[in-house]
Amino acid sequence: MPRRDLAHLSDEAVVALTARSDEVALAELYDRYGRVAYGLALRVLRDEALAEDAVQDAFLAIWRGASRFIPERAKASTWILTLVHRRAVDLVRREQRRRVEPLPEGDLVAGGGASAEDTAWLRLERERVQAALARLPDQQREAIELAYYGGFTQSELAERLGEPLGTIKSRMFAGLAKLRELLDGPLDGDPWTPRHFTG
Amino acid sequence: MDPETLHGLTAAYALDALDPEERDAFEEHLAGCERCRVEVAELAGAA
Repeated sequence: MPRRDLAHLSDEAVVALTARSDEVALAELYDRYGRVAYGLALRVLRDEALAEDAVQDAFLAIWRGASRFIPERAKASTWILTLVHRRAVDLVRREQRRRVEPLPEGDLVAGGGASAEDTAWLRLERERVQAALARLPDQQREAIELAYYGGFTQSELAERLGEPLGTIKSRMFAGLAKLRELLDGPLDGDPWTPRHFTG
Repeated sequence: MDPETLHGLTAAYALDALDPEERDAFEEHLAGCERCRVEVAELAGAA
């Protein structure tokens, strides 16, 4: 029997069904985000088996935590990839496999079972993020790449880069705010600027 | 950790760049701080 078709539903609606222990809904989320999740986990972990573990753990967390998802606070895709990223970072720290250099271009879209259409979409999305990252000042880009893809904590970054912790915090904040602006277009109202830094 | 320090952890939290103790302290803070919740949501959209 073919699987119930949920393709017409929004991500948020599919998460709502998942929260009611609907296994078809969970499978739908996996179809939509499994490959992006794996690409993200692989970029952080640089190990296919560990990346698969991270994705599996994350989808278990999605299954168990779907009822706590609050659509007013985040897009479902952001929530899902946040869970994936956190597990990947936890694993990389546990495995102590962290590296300084980001993966070379192209590694993430090669191979695998996704359709050509998925792969093209992923490549476009990745190029968009890379282009935005490339427009950041070098120090902001470095802080964000090392934290997000390298799994370094802010304290480790301060130590390794020989900078005060407050400087690292400012770079991460300013870099992320700028990235958001570049990826989303200008925000309404006042320009969004850092408000508070201490430490 | 004092509140001003906690307010300054939004970006590091969005990047998963906090160590476990900092993350726990920040999540406790986040539950009661609307300002940081909004900020994390905005930053997480970019991360």
